[in-house]
Amino acid sequence: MGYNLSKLRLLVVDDSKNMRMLVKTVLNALGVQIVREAGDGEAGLQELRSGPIDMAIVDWMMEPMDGLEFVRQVRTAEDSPNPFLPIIMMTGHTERHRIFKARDAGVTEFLAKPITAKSLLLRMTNIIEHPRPFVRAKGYFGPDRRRRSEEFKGPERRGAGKPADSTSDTKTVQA
Amino acid sequence: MADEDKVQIINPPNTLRSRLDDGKATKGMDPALAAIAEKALEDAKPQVKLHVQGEVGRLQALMAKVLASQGKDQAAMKEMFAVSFELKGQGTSAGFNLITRFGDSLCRYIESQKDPGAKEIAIMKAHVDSIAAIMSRGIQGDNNPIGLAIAAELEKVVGRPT
Repeated sequence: MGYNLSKLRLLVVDDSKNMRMLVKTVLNALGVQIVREAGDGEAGLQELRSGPIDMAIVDWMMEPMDGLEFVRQVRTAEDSPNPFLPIIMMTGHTERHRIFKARDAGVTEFLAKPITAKSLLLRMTNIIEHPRPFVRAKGYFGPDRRRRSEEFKGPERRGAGKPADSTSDTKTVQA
Repeated sequence: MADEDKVQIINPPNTLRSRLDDGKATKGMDPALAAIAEKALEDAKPQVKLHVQGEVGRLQALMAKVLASQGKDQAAMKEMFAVSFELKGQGTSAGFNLITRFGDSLCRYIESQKDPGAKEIAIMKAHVDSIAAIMSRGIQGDNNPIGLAIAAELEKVVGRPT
C-alpha cells in the first residue's frame, strides 16, 4: 500500500466537460476524493480563493482566460492564494516552442493529451516525491526550470568566495 | 550587485508528502494504482465515444460552412480548429487513435493557412471525411491498413509533427 491519496485536494481546469470527467475518473480511481472543477482560468482562480488546493491540472486552450494566464496569475498576482501551487499543464499543444512557453510561465509539469492514467500518475508522483525549489529572477517566478540538479564538487566561486549557507531556505545568488 | 541581477532560490515547505504518508503505508506510490486507473479509463470509453461522435458531427457541419463560404467564414474556421484540436486530445481516449492522428494533422494544417484557397479547403475536407469514415466504420486502434494509408497521404501534404 502506498500514499493515502484520499487526503489530496485537486483542482481540474478545462473548458471541456468531457475532459474534466475523464481526469476526475482517473483521479477517483487513484483514490483522490476531493476534485474541484472549473471551466476556464478565471473560474479556476475563484476556486483557488474559495478553499485550499494541493495541486492543479490545467488545460491550455480556454476562454476567456486560458491556462497560461491562469499559471501567470497564480505565480505572480499580488492576491494569488498560493504562488507555490504545483500545476500540471495538460494540453494537446506538444510543439517544442509551446512547451518552453509553458515552462517559462511557471508550470510545474507538462502532460500531453491524449492522457493516460500512467502519465498523469507519473507527473503527480514527481510533484510529491521530487518537489522543485522555486526561483525568483528578473522576469520569472516559478519552479526551477533546470531538470537536473547535480552537486558541484568544486570550490564555491559565488559571492566573493563565501561558502553557501546550507541551512537557509532562501538563497540569493548573482545571475 | 544590482537588484535586478539577483536570483532568489526559495525552498517552500513541502507538507504534501508527509500528509499523504500516514504511517500505515509503505513509502512511495502504490504500483497497482496505474493499472486500476487505466481500467477506469477503459470503462469510461463508451461515454467518451459518445462525446467524440458529437464532435465529429460538429466538425462536418463546420466544414460545410467553410466550403459554402469558400474559406471566408473566419468564425467557422476558428471553430473548426478548436473542434479538431479537441478530437486530437480525446480521440485515443475513445479508442479511435486515428482520429487523434487526423485531428492533429487537421488543426496543424488549419493553423498554417491564413487565406485558404480551393486546394487548401479540399485538403481540409479530406481530413474531415477521413475522420468521419473512421467513426462511422468503428475503426479502433492505430493499425488499420486503410486508415494508415490515408494518414500517410495526408501527412505528405501537411507533414508529420516534429
